[in-house]
Amino acid sequence: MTSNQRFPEDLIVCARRGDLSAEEHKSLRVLLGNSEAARLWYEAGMGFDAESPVQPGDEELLARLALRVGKASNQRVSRAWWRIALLAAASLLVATTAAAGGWFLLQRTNHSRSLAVPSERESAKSNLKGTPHSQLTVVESCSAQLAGDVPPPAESASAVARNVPPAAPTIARRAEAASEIFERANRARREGRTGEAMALYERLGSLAPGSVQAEQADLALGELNLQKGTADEALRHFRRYRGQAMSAEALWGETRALRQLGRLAEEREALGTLCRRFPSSPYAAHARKRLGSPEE
Amino acid sequence: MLKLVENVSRPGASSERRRDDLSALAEAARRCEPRAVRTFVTAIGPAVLRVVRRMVGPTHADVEDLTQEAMIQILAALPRYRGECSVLHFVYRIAVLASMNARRQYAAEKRSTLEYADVELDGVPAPEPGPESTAATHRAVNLVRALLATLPEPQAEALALHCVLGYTVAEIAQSTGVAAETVRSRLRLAGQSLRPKLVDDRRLRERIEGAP
Repeated sequence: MTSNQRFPEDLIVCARRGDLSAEEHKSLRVLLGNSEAARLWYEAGMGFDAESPVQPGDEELLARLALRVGKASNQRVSRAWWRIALLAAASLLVATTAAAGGWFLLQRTNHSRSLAVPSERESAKSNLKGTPHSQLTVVESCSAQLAGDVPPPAESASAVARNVPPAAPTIARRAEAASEIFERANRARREGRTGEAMALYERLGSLAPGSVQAEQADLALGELNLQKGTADEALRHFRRYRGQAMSAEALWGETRALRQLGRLAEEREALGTLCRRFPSSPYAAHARKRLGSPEE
Repeated sequence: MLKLVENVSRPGASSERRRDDLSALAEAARRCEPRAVRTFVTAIGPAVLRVVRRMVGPTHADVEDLTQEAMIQILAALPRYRGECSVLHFVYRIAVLASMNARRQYAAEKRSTLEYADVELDGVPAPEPGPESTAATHRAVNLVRALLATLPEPQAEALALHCVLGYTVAEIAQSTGVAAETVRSRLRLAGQSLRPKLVDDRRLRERIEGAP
């Protein structure tokens, strides 16, 4: 089958593309006359084609998305490396534990053997001398003491594992929890549950301070506060953003918050900083335009 | 930059022409080379945005978030790309699936508000074809969007690629890796699911029955 092969259903598509011969026009009319579904697909298809593919602000939107998606991809890669590192650490831990267990077992066997061999010798001697029990008691008590002091290898391995501080898994769990909360917060924001979204973003700051999610949460909180009209809070969040990837976005948010607060001199200063630090950012054009406009 | 939208607006010849360029870029992006990822995302961005807008509606509040999710899913799916279709077809398909799933999830949560019959028609522009005709087209578009949220996924995917994006049967078959007859059968089944929906919408039904 080639992609040029045509089926009756394709008549609608070809009509939408303006790619119909006179003969196919007739066939299309027949198809539309006979099929209710075909008429609807045709009507809807024309409707979809009539919708404008571009809207004002698309360039900025796409620039923002490229930044965010690029960053998310980097995070994905570093998460993969982090997982590999965790796996390697876990393997090392298991190997060390096994080695320790093996060493204890070996030590124990050697010790038992070193105690058992003289006892046999002694028992042989005692058989000769007629005093079998005194030495055997020593051997038994030594063995019992040894058995009491040194746990069996399996136990020893698990004990070693228990004693190892669980730092890496805790970090991993916290990172997982942070991503989960971040996703929940994003979902809540998308579904218009602003209060819940804000609470979740706030939680990220305390759960995983300094994490990428917490940084992103600051930006989201800034935006949500701007929408809510609490520009002072928005300003606090935009200024708190410490990430690198979205610095321009944070600075742009800061200028909008300052504008909402009526602190126009500070806004102009921030706009100037934005133009200097990020001259090729999509926000710079807006900033320059804003700087060019007279102060309100 | 937005010229790219025009370039990818038809899944035919122009996309074939761009196929090789994007293949190399997609391969580098698959290896997670940061610059390649950025370039790839910039290259496919307008196309993904366009698909998402078509799938959920141009004024949907979540267009930006959905486009971002679609792009992330595309990057994650790149290792599965085997070159059976062009990179752009692959991108379109993942974007369709991503936005369709988001819409389904949304529909499951707020089913009542998604009923196409309840779609608010205020603010629909009334250009040359006349207000009734435009409103009917708008209702047809919304009916297809609502249908996509309820159909079984394979049918919905075929319908989205065919009706929303304007793919031919052969192109859908190539993108989805199924036989052309399977695609036709899925489109037929989607058409059959349409009838009960049309019964509820008298005006659209009159329009459809009155056509061509």
